[in-house]
Amino acid sequence: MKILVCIKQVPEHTSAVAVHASGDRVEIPESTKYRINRFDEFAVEAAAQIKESVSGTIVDVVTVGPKSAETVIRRAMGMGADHGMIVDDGFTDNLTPDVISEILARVARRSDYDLVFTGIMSEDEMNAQTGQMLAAGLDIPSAVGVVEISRIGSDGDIQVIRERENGVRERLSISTPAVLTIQGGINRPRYPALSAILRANAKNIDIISDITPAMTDKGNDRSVLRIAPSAKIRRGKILEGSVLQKAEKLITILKERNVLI
Amino acid sequence: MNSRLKKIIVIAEYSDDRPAQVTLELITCAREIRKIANADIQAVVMGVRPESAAQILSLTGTDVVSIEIDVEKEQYPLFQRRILESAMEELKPDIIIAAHTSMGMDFLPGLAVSMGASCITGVKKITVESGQFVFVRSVWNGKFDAMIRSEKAVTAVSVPPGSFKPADGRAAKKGTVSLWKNSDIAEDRRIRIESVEKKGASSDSSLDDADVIVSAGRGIGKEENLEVLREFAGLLRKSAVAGSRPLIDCGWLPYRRQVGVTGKTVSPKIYIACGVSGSSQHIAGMAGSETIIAVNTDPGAAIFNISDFCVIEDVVPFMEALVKLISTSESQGC
Ligand SMILES: Cc1cc2nc3c(=O)[nH]c(=O)nc-3n(C[C@H](O)[C@H](O)[C@H](O)COP(=O)(O)OP(=O)(O)OC[C@H]3O[C@@H](n4cnc5c(N)ncnc54)[C@H](O)[C@@H]3O)c2cc1C
Repeated sequence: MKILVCIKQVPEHTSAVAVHASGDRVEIPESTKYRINRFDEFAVEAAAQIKESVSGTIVDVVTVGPKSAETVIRRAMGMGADHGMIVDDGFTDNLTPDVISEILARVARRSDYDLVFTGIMSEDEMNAQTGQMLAAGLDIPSAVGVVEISRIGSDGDIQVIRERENGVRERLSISTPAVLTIQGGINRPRYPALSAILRANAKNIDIISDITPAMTDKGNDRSVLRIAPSAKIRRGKILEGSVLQKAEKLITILKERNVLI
Repeated sequence: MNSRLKKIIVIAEYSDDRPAQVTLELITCAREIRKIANADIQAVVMGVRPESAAQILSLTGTDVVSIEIDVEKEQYPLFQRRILESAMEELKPDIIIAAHTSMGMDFLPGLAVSMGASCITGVKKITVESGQFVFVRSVWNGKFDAMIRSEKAVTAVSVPPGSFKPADGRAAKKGTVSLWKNSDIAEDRRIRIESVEKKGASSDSSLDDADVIVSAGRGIGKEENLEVLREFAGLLRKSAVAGSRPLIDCGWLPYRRQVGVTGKTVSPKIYIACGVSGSSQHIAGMAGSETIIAVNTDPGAAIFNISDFCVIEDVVPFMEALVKLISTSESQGC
């Protein structure tokens, strides 16, 4: 079985992320540390677990991003991925899911993957559509919001559970190749062992430069006019002072509402 | 895409023969666009027995296309997408509006690809600037709003439940209902729905009954830190501890304690969000709370936008101080 996991990096903390002076994008400070988008981390773990249970499984991990995304690729390799790839986008432009998914489709076509995983959504752009678009581009089925991979059949069929609303879940049979977009909670992503990290650090990462956004002859399907802090809906009174003073003020609020025992 | 358009298609969802609440909201969304662009609105209801839902939907004054599919094809979602694709070829929409739900997110991006349309998800508001539509969506876990312009002739948008008021079902003039049958679409059985199950049906109503909900987010850092929140909740009348989805995903709290779009919707007297960023998926479950208090280190966290009181602090030491202060002032009172 061959699995491709598509991941992206997001800032470890977002408190320092602000609207750029240009007003049409965000500014992420130079010093920002990145981590794997959480939903993608679940996807990497899901692939690593299949590798442990289905012998002969190979797991590739790919990101479309800057070379510095090597850190998250190595992390994924520490978790069990065999190969890492970065499609270096030069980071000139913020690519939209239709372009990213087309690039990923081109990467996927270079090997015979049985399964392609993405996270259900990225925590920054929150588009929640790259996996589905990738499947459409490859003309293979996709399941969105997978919370369990129940069976990997030798007949090329897999069984998964996908989450709907209100605690409802659907059990699906899917013929491979297929794309699964992975929802949180499917597993507990491992913390890579030191030995695994060292092994991952010694490996090469393929920098793919012969697939570029320009090649996809898909312009971004949208443009961002502006980014702004989201609107205040309630008054949001800020409690000022020292920790103790803030705690006192909060106690007053609780007392006013008569909820303290 | 400019605001001179001809047709807006709303893709309906229904259950128990009735259109879903979110579908009625999408009708309102479509009408707001029509105010600007004067386009026709049509809703598409597709399923095994769509007609009753289609009739009810037409009472809002919307013209409805009801597409009936054979029972044995219901379990093939890809096949249903093909039917939808062919319906779109016939209907030729400029804008397609679907719900940002597990159903909408399943078919919309693929449909957009097949139509060469732009796909803009999580759209909570639509405005016009210089004759062009602007789609507003949340990004960065709700911290920012992005104002987006479509660069394609056709635009598919998904709209989260709760973004618009539901359309009234007592319009002066009922819409028309056209009955379509799925005809000669090639079968696609690559995905099959085997069964549908309900997870963790539980009788635990502690969140429904609580006056105060102390809610933990990833900002609490580690599982042990739930203890101080529990201690704090213990000092409050009719209180319960809940959490954001990642905490449930980690197994720190049971599923029945999850607040949000895929968990519970709560509306206690007081909701105290501790280290919760305030993503739209979380807010969907608690925005109706009477008083919202948030503790977060990031002054720009989205949760503060819907809070009545904001505490910008490291949550664990703050809660420890709070618990200590309440406990000591109690003992002084004796
Ligand atoms: C289909 C779908 C359904 C979903 N359903 C739900 C749902 O039902 N419920 C839900 O909650 N989520 C849901 N999510 C997930 C949601 O998108 C967010 O990922 C999640 O709500 C984030 O949880 P969080 O706020 O705890 O974590 P984060 O977004 O990581 O936020 C942590 C916050 O803690 C703050 N913080 C960090 N350190 C400290 C500190 N020391 N002191 C104080 N504050 C600190 C940070 O500033 C940040 O604001 C869903 C996602 C998808 C795709």
